[in-house]
Amino acid sequence: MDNQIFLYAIPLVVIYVWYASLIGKRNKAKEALSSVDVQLKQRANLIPNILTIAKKFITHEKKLLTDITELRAKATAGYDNTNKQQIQEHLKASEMLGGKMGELMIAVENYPDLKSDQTMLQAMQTYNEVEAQISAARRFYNAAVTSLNNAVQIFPGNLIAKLANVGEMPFYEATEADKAPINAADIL
Amino acid sequence: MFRLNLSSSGISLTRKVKRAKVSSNTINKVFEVHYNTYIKPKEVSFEERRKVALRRYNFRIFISVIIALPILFIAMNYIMGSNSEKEQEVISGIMILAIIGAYYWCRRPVKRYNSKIKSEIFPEIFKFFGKSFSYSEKSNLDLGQLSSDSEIIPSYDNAKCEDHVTGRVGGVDLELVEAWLTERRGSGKNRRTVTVFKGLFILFSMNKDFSGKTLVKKDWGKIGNFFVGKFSRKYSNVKLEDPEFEKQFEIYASDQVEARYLLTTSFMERLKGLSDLLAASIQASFFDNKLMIMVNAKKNLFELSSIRRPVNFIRDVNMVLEEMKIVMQIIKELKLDQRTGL
Repeated sequence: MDNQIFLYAIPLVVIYVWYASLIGKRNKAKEALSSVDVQLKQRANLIPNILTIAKKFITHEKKLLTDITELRAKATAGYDNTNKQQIQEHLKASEMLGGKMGELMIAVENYPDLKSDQTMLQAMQTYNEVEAQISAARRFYNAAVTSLNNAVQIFPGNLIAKLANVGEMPFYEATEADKAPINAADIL
Repeated sequence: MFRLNLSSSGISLTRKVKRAKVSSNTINKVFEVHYNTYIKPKEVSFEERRKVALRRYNFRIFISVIIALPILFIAMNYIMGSNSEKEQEVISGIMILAIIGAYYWCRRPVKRYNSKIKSEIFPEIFKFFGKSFSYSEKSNLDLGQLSSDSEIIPSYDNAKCEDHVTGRVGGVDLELVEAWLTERRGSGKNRRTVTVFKGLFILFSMNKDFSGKTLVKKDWGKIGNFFVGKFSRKYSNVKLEDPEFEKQFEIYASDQVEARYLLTTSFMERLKGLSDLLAASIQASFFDNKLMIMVNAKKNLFELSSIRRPVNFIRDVNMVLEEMKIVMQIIKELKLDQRTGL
């Protein structure tokens, strides 16, 4: 009788430990996602200041400034952090915003007055710092997601994940534009 | 391969510099003027002091040998004639202590002379790197504080810190101390003193702001890390993307994001490069907006020429330049003087 209890208990303990580990990994990924959001929020707060300064000098890239404003609104919109699709869209919008900001930084090079403006210089320096923090948060998030996704995809984790309703999470990937090789002629 | 410039002095340094044999004949061209102005004039007076110290040293050796030989002869006879093991042990112990005492007594004039060089000549050498540089033979570094702040210094019972250099290069504050840490281990007949660290502690101000702590420890393999892993209880283990870096180092941090902010992919490359460049095991700690690097070095740094050689500070100067070159290389290799965000 005792042996029978023991035989039933072992798989239950294993399943529980597996389940606890999955939940731990999901929570870690969510924690990492919130770290990304903290940094993205900092960037979003900084953008209006940069745009205000840039608007005084920039004459040609009006569309770029409009795009940035629209993308900022999209990136700062609320989302459900349990919904894979919504997380993916949120991260994509943030990455596109980053790409457009990168374009703005390059465009600044064409306006010597703007480039040498003290407030702009300070804002750009802060922006670069925030970008470095976003990059670090993204690496943390991707590491946590890799660990979660491996656990969710590999047997028997996939079965337990289904029972516990734990799903995969999307990676925070660079946009296609960011992955494309840089054409030096466009910048110089 | 690339060439570096030591900001103020303009000394050219190649990247793949091995710890070259220190030359005693030729002085670095850039340093020549500084040498001729501040150091060379002191050679005459130091030659006199050296001769006096050497005479005293030789005299003490002579006296020690004259006294020690008959005593040693009598003691050996007594030990061989004695049947008491206890007596033999006591006399042997006294003899060993007497030999150690005589050694230190003989070396004293040399020690004093060397100390004079370090207190009068070395500060002049370090002035070459800029006004901000200072050197002192004895270190006032609060090792206990540094140990608790950095959390990478191994536990020790006895610490000997010397050759303390402070200065500022390219906007980076630096502090360098040579340290020798020992610990008593075992009990009874197995009681012994073990060297737990010998090398350099180098502290740099960082070009990034951070509030937590990140430790870059030597990787001891899975089992080793498990036993060494007392940090894992206080800090979380950080798994980074670079497998080569992960093989070499084990990272613990109070903040996962901050650890990645400091250890960017390019910084990881640089740390690996630095370890290869120095051909020594290194560990690092980021705390209080500072970076501390621990470099293992078997030989004594800032070691002076033999007292038996006539005074020629060229070798000492070249040795200091060689050691400082390493510090400058660390700054350049890790790009600590640049605010690149990378």
